Amino acid sequence: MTLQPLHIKNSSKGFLDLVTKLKADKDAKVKALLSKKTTIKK
Amino acid sequence: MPLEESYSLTTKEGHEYRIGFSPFDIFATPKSLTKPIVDVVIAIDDNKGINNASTLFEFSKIIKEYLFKNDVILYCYCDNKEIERGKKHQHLSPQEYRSLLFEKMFDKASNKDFINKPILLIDATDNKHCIHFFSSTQNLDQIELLSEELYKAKG
Repeated sequence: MTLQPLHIKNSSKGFLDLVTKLKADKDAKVKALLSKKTTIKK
Repeated sequence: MPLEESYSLTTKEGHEYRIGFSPFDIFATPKSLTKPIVDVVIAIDDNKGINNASTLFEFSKIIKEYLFKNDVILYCYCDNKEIERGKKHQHLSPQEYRSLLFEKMFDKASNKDFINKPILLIDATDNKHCIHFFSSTQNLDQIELLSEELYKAKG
């Protein structure tokens, strides 16, 4: 079941730092995942 | 049980996806949040995969199996790398389109045991970031807590 989407608009620097960190974390994890040798085949 | 797991999935078209689960600790979490947050990442080389119904179904099956085994809140950040989208979805950004795919994927495997909370974050530069929380229905309060915490985040 998909719940009602939440929209959050925040102009603070702290929030900008947070979303920048989220994006960087995602990029790093994609890179690490693609280079990983051991994964369970599905 | 360790929360970190990764899978590879080869679609019938021959594309190889990787799906990874790993503990996530970037959000400031309230003390009342008792469930661990786990990041789910779906990756493919060069983003050349095919987002058809059967691929989405396979993703949702892996995510559901993980949630059956682990009582956690899954978090996903939709990245903004280019993605093939049909005429109907050209107006959406790659992030928004991925978010829509997540929603479709989730609703495809829909049952009353799981919930998906889409959240759109708009920062000071007017950039949009789409994230999702997934968990079992019994963790609805935990997802609401996390969403509220993000709402309050001032930095």
